[in-house]
Amino acid sequence: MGSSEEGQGLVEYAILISLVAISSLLVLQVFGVSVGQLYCDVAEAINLKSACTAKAICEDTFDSLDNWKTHYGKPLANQGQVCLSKGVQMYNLCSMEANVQNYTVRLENAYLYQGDGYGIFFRTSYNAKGANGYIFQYDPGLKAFVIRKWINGKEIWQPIAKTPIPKDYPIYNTPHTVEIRVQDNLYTVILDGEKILEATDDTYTKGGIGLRTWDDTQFCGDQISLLSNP
Amino acid sequence: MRSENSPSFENYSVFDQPSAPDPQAKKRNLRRWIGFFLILSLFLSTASLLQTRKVSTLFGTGSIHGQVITSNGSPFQGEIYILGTSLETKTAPDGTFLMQGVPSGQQVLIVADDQIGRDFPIQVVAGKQLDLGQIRFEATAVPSP
Repeated sequence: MGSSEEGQGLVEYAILISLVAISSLLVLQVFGVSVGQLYCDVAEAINLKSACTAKAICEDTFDSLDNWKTHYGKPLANQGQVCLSKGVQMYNLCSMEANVQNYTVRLENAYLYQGDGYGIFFRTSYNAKGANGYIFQYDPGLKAFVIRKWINGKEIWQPIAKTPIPKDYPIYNTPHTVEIRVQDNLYTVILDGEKILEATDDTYTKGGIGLRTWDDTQFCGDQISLLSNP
Repeated sequence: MRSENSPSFENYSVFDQPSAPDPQAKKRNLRRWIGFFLILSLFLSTASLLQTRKVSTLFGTGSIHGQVITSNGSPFQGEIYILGTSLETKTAPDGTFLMQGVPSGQQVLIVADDQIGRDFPIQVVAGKQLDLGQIRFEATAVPSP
């Protein structure tokens, strides 16, 4: 076999290997598997955890509300805590400017003192009419945790995901950490480290975060972060 | 047995010369695999593209019309959206609406008042007007802002 034929064979092997790799990635994409997450899961399993440390895209410790746009209501920030009473809608400007697709929102020390609940907007933009995007609602008014869509400041009534709040769950006066993992068209809500809700939807592909309360809610939270996904 | 009746060597396959490996067969095999993965990649790329909503406009647009009524049968005054697009309109005083340029395929029609929206899945056909008939908008106890 001549050297040119051997070279041709190597090129064909290289093409084959490339196609196998591309096909594998496409299979994962079609079935909604995050390659980055898969890498991190494997890395974590073999103790390479540092390879997948989430980086903060935006962080707010609520020393002020300079980084927030209030759509309505009167939120209060004081000494590293934000408190929302009755009806409030506010959007985080850093996250709106970043306008990223995939991330994790983390709200720490979230207290609901009274009322029907609070919501965390994600993949949301806003205009004069209000929010376009998704919201996770910690919603004792509905006796459920729900994910809904919003369009032009109107909530679409039928949730895209809903799960009842367990009867013995400490809804009020207890600090909770809420995480919403936003990856492609999959939205996963993790409450105090436990996955409670999952939804898939393709309507909104990127956007920032925000907070919402309604009715006679009294809510406070310590810190909200927008973290990069692995 | 007489020697002339004996089978010749040619009748015994064990005496066949082992065929030399065909270098072209290996190459053909390799090219078959390349072809297979190329087709698989194209198929998966198409599947991935079809999962996005943007592709629906490639197949043309249609229009929709209908009338929205409240739970007591009176004409509904509100807004109409197609989810995932920038299309929006308002209902006329008699509750009717017409919306053009709706991407074909499975879409979600949103009928909204000041605070909440109701979603209705619809199937839009390119180049045709879809008559949605009467749509009932059920009011609900809404959270006060």
